[in-house]
Amino acid sequence: MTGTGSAHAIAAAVRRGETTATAVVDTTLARIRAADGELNCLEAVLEDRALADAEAVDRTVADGADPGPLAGVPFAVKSLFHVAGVPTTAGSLIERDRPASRADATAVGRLREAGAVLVGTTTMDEYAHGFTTENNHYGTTRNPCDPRRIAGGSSGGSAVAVASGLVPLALGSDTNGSIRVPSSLCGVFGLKPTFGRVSRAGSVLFVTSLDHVGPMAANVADLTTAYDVLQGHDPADPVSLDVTPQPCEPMLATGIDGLRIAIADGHFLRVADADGTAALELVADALGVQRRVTVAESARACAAAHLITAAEGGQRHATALRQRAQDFDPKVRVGLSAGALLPAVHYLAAQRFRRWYRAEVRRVLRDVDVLLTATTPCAAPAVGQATITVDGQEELVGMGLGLLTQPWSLVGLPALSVPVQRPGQLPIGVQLVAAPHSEAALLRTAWALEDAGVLTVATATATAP
Amino acid sequence: MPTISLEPEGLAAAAAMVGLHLDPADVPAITRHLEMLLRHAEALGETDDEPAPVFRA
Repeated sequence: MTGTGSAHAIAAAVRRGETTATAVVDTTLARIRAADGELNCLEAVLEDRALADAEAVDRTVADGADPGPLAGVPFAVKSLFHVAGVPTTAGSLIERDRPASRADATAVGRLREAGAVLVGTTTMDEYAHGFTTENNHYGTTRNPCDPRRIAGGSSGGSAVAVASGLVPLALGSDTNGSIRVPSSLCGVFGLKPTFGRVSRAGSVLFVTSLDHVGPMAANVADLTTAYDVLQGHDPADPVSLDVTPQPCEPMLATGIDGLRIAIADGHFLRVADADGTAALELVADALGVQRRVTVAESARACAAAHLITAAEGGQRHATALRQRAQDFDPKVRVGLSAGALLPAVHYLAAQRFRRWYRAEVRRVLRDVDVLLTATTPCAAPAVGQATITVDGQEELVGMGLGLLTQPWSLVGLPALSVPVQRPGQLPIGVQLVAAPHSEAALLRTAWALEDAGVLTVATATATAP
Repeated sequence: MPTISLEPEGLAAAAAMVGLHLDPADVPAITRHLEMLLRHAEALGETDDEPAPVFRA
């Protein structure tokens, strides 16, 4: 074992002394050097830090101490997480000019304490504003399944790093779907936990009331272990929930016994194209699910999410728009400027609707444990493509790709995108959604689907040892 | 509910109120983006949130 296999396989081999963390990281760094030129998924490769951390893990093993559940597992993080000694660019020029971070973000620190080894920061849409990872400053990130197509965004670099087998784990952030959309288009697992369940401390925020942090991985067990390591209260994050961690890994094997699962219809079926619908049907059939439920006014939930995103994002970046407007990616400058000009009445109306929609979702989830939808309306669009067709209408790619993910993040629900096996075709994900703090229900369902052979990461197996 | 003028002069005045100076080259794209946001606002309708939320299209 010298390469980037599953996180569980690597950690087991390191813990047993069958390989070393240093050997794993050496191989990972060599693969990044060989593969990242075309993909452009790593913004910075942290070779010295990675090797030093790997040596520390190896010393722990040699001393007979516990190196942690992710011993020697290489991981990468979206470039909006603080990493000690590294400027946190958030995909921008403006942030790059600030002093290097003095400490790791809480999420980075928790993975490191569990023995994982950070090898690099990943590309993203500037300030997480977008769904494509076509960044004017740092270039376009390519989909490993077809480099002519986008990776999705804004956590596109993290999704590509996992999908291409460069690392088994990565961190992303999700405001309107920025973990789930690239996970769907690149064919990996991506979990957006309950709002406040994973600390955002030490990350560059985009939309304060919508931002979430979560893991991306190539299989359910790795994703679950990463989530279990990440979850828990953090007093450094004002929105962190002070609730007892609920480890999910021990619950995986219970499968879907006792879970009430249903397809979300209405908006969620109208928005998905033939690929999305076929993937959803495949998953529903594998789970034996025929029941459909309606979450009313979900199209309006997307409208509310757009308005809240524009207003909060515009306000957050107003100072930089005044001082360094020309240093923004032009499309981001336009979006943030429009948001800064949006009258408050519309923001307040959107927040009021959000309360209404939360009550509606709560009503539905009294009778359902897991909802199913496609994750994205379609598979990956081409690089540079401006629009996609959604329900017969042309939508901007940057708006349309989030129409199935936005409603759930608007009300802070946990949501997981799983990669559906479609041999010879582009990947597309199916989204599993549950009530707050019910991540275990999502992971149990994903585990059952993986066990049934319905889910496959598109390209990781091609590069795994 | 007319809440902001999308004419160039109105947009410039609104920008000045929040301390922004818009690059003239950006104004058409910002206008289109605001038009889209205002369509979302229109689609949102209004809600009464107390005591029992009722959606009014």
